[in-house]
Amino acid sequence: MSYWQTLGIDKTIDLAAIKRAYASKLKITRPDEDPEGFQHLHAAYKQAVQNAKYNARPDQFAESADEALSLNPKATDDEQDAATVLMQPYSEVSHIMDGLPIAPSYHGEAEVDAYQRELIEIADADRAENSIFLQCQWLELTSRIDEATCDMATMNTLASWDFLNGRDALLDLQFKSEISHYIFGRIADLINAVRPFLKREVFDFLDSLFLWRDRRDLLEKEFGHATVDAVMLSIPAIRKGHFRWRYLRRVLTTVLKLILFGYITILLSKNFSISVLFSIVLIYSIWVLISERLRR
Amino acid sequence: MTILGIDLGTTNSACSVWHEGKAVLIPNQLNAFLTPSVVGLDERGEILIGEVAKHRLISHPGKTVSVFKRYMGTDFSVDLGKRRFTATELSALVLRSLKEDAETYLGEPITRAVISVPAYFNDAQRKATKLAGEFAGLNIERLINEPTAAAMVYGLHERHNAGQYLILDLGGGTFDVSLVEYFDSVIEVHASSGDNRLGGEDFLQVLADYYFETTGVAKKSLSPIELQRLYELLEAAKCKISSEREVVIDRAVKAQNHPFTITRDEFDRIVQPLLHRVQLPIERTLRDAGITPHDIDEVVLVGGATRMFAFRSLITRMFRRLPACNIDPDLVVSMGAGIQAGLKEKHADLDDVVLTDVCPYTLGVEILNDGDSSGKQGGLFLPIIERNSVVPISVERSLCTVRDYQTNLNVNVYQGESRLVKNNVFLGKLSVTVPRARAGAETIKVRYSYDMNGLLEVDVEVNSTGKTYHATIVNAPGDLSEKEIKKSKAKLAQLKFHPREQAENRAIVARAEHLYECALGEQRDYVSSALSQFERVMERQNPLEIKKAASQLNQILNTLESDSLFT
Repeated sequence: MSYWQTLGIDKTIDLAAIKRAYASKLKITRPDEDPEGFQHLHAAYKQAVQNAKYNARPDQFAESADEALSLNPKATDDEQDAATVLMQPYSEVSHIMDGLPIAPSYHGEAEVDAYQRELIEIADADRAENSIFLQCQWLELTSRIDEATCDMATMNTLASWDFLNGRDALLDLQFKSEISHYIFGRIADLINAVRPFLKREVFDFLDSLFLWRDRRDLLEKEFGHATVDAVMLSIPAIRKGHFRWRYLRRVLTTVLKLILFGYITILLSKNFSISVLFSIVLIYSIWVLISERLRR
Repeated sequence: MTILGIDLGTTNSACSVWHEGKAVLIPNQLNAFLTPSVVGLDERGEILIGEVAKHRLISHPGKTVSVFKRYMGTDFSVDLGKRRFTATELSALVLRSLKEDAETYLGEPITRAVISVPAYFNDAQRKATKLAGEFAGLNIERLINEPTAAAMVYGLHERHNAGQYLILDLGGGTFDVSLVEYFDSVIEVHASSGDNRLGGEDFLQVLADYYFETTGVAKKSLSPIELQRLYELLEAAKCKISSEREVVIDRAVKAQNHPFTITRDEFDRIVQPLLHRVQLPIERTLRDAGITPHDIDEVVLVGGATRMFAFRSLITRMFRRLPACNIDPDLVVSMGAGIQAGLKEKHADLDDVVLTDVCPYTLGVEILNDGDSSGKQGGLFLPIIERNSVVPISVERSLCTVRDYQTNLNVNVYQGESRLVKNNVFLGKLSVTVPRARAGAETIKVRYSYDMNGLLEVDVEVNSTGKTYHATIVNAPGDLSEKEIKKSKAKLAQLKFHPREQAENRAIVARAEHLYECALGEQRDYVSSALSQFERVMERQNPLEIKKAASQLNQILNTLESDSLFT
C-alpha cells in the first residue's frame, strides 16, 4: 500500500490537502487507541509532506534566493502591519480569552505597561533598525572574520576570534546562522588552499558558539559532504592520555622482566638444586600477578 | 467519573477539570488557584501543605520542605520531624491536598488523574511521578508533557489560527522547548528539547551568590531563619528587577553592613550563563525540526519564570518579535492537564481533537566498544528509539554475543545523545541467559516500546531458545521494590492532616507569624498582640466570632504588608 493510499488521497504536492487528509484519518486512527495504525499513518504523512516539499522546491528556491539578498526580506511590506499589531499587542485576542485567567504581572498596571513598553521597544528596534543595525553588524563582523581568516597562523590563534564574544546581533537566530555559515565557508576555503590544519581550541570555541558538530547535516547541506569532512578532519586529534600510558606500561614490564631474569641468573649461579625450582615457581606467580594487574 | 488534571510544579501546583466545554481551575481551601509545592510539619506532628507551609519556611525552616520536584527519581530524602521523606512521598502529600480540594469543590470522590511532567523528564522521574500519584490514592491515567499541555490550551482557544508555535516553558526548576503545529483540531508536537536543571530557582541562586560576593556576608554564618528570610527578599528583588531599573535591599541580615544594590544591567550580566543555556535547547529544537525562525508563527511563553525581563528580552531578540503570553503562565499547564483529562473522559466536545507527541530524547542500549583498549571510554551507545520520534512507538533491534561461550547477556538501557554511554543517563538493566556458543552465534531481539505517558518498556527475546523477558528493569536509581512501596503507602496513611475547616484560620496565623519574623520593634509588638487576641477568639470556638476576628486580623496584616514591610 502506497502512502497516498494510506492517506486516502491522490498524489499531490498541495500541503494543505495532505494535512486535511491526515487530520481526517487521524481522528479514526488515534495514537492511544491504535498505536500501530497511527505509526503507519504518521509515516505516510511524513513521506507525503517530504515529497510535496521536495517537488515544490523549484519555485521556493527562487523565492529564497531573493530573500538571501536582503537580511530582512519581509520587512518592507509587513513592517507596517507588524508595527500596528505591536502597538496593541493583546487587545485583539482578549475577547477570545473570555473566561480565561489573563496573565497578571508582578506589580500594578502602570508597571506592567512600562515593562511591556520596554519589550515592544526592543522588538521595534530590532525590526525597524534591522536593516541598519544588522547590516552594519554584518559588514563589521564579516570584515573581521576576513581578517581572522587571512592566514593559517591568525586563524589558529584563539585571540583573533575574541570579537565574537558578547555580540548582541548574534542573539538573532537568523543572523547567527548566516554568520556561522560565513565563518565555516572561510575556514573551508583556507583549509582547501593551504596545508590542512585547524587548531582544536579554535574549533572548540566556534563550536560552542555555533554548535557545528551538532548541526553537521546543516553544514553539509550548505557546503557539501567533502568540504565539511575536510574541515572536521583537519582538526588534530587530542593526544589521548592512554597512548602514553600504554607506552609506559610496555617499558615497565620490560624492566620488570629484566630484573626477574637477573634474579634467576644469580640464584642459578649459587645453588643449583631446590632454589631453582622455588624461584621458578615464585617468578611465575609474580609474573602472572603483574601481568593480570597491568591488563586491567 | 471526573478525571482531575494536575500540574505538579517545582514552586506551585494547580489542578483543573474539564467541565461544560472548557477547562475549569479548582480553587484550594484558601480560594486560590495556586498551591505552593511546600510541605511542613506543625507542633502537633500534623502535615501542612501549601500557603500555610510556605509561610512557615521562615519561622520553621527545619520542619518545612520546598523545591523537592528537583529530586524526583533519585534516592534523595529529607528529615521532617521524626520521619524521613523522599521527593516522591512529599509530592504525594501535595497531590493528596489537591485531590481533597477537588473533592470538596466538586462534591464527589476523585480517583483518577492526569499529571503534567516536564517534557525532558527522564524515565525514572516519570515513574516517580506516577508512583506519587498512586501514593496519593490516584490512578494516573496519563502523564502529559507540560509544554504539550500548554499548547493544547493555546490550540483549543485560538482554534482558528492554524500554524506553527514554539512553546517555551521556563518553570521553577526545568526548561522545556516544544515546536507544535495546529491544523484541523490536530495538535501535533514536532520536536521537543529541554534542560532538566534550569529554572527560576537557578536565577535566584545566581542572585544569592552575587549577594554573598558583594556584601561579604558569609553564607555559613547565617542561621536557617536568616537564610530563609534573605532568600525571600532576594526572590522579591528578582521579580522586581523586571519592572524597575534598580532594587535595593538594606540590611536583610545582621551581618550585612551596607545596603545591597542591584541594577538591571548587573542582573543581566550575572545571569548570562543561564541565558546561554536557554538558547541551546531552542536552537536544537529548530534544527531537529528543520525550520528557521521565519517559519514560526508565534513564540508562546509558559511558566512563572518567563516573566523575567532578562528572559523575555532575550527571546524577543532571538526571534525579532514579541513573544505571546496571553494566558496566565502559572496556570496554563494545569488547564492543559484538565483538557487532557477531558480527552481521557471522551467528552463529546473534544471529539475531534487529536494530540500527537514525541519522545524528546534518544533511547538506546550499551554495546561493546572495540576500539577502547584502555577501558577509559566505556561502552558505546546504540540508539534504538531516536529523539523526536512520534509516540507511541515500538522499535526492535538485534544484538549478538561478543565472547565465546558467554551464558549471560546484560541489556543496559540508557537515555541521551552521547556516543558513549558514560555520558548518558542510565535507566536500568535487564539480564538474560543465552546458551553456550561461539561469539556472535547467539542473537537476541531487543524491543523498546515508548508509550503516550513517556514511559519505556523493554522486551528481550532470545532467538535460539525463544525465551522472553519483559520490562523487569532493576537497579534504576530511585527505584523501589513492592515491599518498599507498601511501606511508603503505610507511612503516608499514618500521617495526620490538618482539619480542613481550620485551614483558613491556620493560614492567617501562619501569615501573622511570618510577619512577626520579618518585622521589628513596634510593629512586632503590634502583630504579636493582634495574633494572641485572635488565638483567644479561636479558643472560644464560636464560628461567627472567629470569622469576624479572622477578617479583622487579615485587614491588619494587609495594612502592615502594604506599609512596605517587605522591601
